[in-house]
Amino acid sequence: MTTGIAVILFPGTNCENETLRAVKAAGMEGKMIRWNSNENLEQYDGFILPGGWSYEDRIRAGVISAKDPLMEQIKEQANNGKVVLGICNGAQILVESKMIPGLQNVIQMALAPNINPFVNGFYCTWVNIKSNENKKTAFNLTLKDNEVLPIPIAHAEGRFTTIDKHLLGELIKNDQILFRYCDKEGVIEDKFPINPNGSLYNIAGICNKEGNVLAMMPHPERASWQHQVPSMQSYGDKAAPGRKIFESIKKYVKNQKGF
Amino acid sequence: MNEIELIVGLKIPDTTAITAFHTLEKLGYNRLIKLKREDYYKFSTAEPIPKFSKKIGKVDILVNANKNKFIVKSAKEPFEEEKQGRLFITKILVKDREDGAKALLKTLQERLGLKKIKKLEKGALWTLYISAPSEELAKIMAKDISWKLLFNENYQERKIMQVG
Repeated sequence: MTTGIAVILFPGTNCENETLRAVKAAGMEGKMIRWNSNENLEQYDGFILPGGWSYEDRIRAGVISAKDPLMEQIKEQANNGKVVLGICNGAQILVESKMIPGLQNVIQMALAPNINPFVNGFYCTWVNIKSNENKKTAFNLTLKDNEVLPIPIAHAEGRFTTIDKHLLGELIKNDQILFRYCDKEGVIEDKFPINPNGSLYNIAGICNKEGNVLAMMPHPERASWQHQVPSMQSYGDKAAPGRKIFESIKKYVKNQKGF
Repeated sequence: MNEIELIVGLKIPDTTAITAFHTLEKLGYNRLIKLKREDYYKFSTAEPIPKFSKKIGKVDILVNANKNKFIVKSAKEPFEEEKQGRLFITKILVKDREDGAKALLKTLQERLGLKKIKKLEKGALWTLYISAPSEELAKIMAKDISWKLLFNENYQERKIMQVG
């Protein structure tokens, strides 16, 4: 029987503690596992690749982790319907490992250096995102239609881009663009600061066709408690909107297990 | 206008190149015997090459004398690389497709007063030392290695600079 979410630790990952905390706050079991621990991944319900700088972003962000044999095992688990969430550096790993967008066995996209009129390089700020209402996936099951999530970003290479002129159309047709940057009213405009990094089509997160793998650049684990979110002006421990992504995973896993 | 190349390498171990080499080794590229990585800059400047060469090596945001070694040469000259037995040496330049050097050019021109630099390109210069039956095969292997790891064509471009 499977149990819990594995939070994967590569050398240089640094968001594993708060990611695990967010998993548990959503009511799931969770465990941190190192990339080289040779654990049997079949025992887990799903996997999260947290944020950080795995392998110091050597060569480019996420590429060394993407080539690790562990990623082949995670791909296999994803093909069996298990949940895989990549956050920030985790998203970069999923893109470089071809799991996202996952339409061909080549690297179809990049998370390229930000294009920002004021800040060169690393940029951290609070943004707003909204999910694709047309598609219910493992990551937005508990979100209301038109719900806007305040959520932070912190990255230097977060701009989804591709040289394939047809790919964007395909992603739109498949409803794989799960999260887009918007203003606090939910209006999507391709201009700074609404789009903080010049990402194609204001993309903040892309899922695979089946909806069980997501690469997202914003950090939901940093918007899981009200005291984390400046716009909520609360010091409370109540749930903030970012938790809904983890609660959606929990609901998905529960449905999968037939509970 | 003169085109001048500045190639900056590390005197200390290059952990990026070491990690790249070991990753390629684990991926089965056992004919790759050695891998080197250097920062590459190409300047377009009206200044004569000898004068510019003396100046640019002292710009500490490009060359840190404590850890870097460098060469400056005309872009027209070939790279000098010490022959390594029967290994074929391929140099591959990886650059971001969007102009990633604008901010650096502005710093060099405005903050450091190098106003005669009119254009700047920058990238990573990889040198692959490959054991292969022929130069042609070594070039094919080098291209394959670059596809596998060294660049992402969705935002970068790759240029084979020299094979020998």
